[in-house]
Amino acid sequence: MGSSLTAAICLEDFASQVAERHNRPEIEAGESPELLLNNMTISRNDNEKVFIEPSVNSIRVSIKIKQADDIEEILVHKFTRFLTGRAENFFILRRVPIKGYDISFLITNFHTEQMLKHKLVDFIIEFMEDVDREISEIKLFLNARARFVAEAYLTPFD
Amino acid sequence: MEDWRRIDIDALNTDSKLTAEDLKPNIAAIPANQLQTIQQKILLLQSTGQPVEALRLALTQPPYGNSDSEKDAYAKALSDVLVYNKNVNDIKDIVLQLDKAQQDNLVKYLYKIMNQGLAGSVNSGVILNWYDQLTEITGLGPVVRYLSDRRTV
Repeated sequence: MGSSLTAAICLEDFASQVAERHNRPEIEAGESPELLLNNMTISRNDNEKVFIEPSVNSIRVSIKIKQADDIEEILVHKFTRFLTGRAENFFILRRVPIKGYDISFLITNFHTEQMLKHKLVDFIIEFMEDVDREISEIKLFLNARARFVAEAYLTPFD
Repeated sequence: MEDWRRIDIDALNTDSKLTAEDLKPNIAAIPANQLQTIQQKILLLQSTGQPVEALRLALTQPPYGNSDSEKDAYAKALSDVLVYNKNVNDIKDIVLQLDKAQQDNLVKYLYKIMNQGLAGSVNSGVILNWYDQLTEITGLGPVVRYLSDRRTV
């Protein structure tokens, strides 16, 4: 995972060759197939996947977070919505995840100029680990609270 | 008169843009029956306990020019060989016995198998293991070559 990302984040400034004086992430524009590289998927199983789409000046990393049941699905949805709603504070976060995945990052050459590449890779890997932990923590907390509420509610009928 | 600002001048010049078709390298396809026999031979070598020979055969001349369905069948055969060899030390030994070009091709196939989930969800851990061992031995070179190579497997 780390090595794939390190290899993919090899970006350079590249102005659009379709529109003059434009400079846009080619992976998003998708107008010139010669600038897009081969996609990579890294999957532990069907529920946990990372999809990397590299191009000459930008890469898109999409993550599918583990969702074992309905509660986790709702939690992941809320969690990712919370993050993407504040995308401007995260710089590399994409506002809308691509289809089939829960959250997407868009890293352009401007990001790699300002930030260190290995830190970016570390950040994404750490993010994945943290999200998993966070979701299971929230789930435990939710279950505990549900039990407490049910007990408090049903005591009068005891 | 027609609004000349809205005329798409690129449409008049058909050479102005490359299409995905233009980028496909021109490589002759391996005949279907020949490919079949290679696949059978790969599985036979694996079942007789010669995984190195099987991989060498599979990775020396991959079917770059064939149709997608033929490529998929070929990759499936290869992934069957890979998931048979689960032991980390075995994987290391096998990778060390392949040459540079074969290692490059192996990375391509590992990505293809992961992209399309050819190994099935139970065995994707094994494929990741292969990938880890391979990049540990070869470094990032094959991964970068995979990214930029238009000769897809």
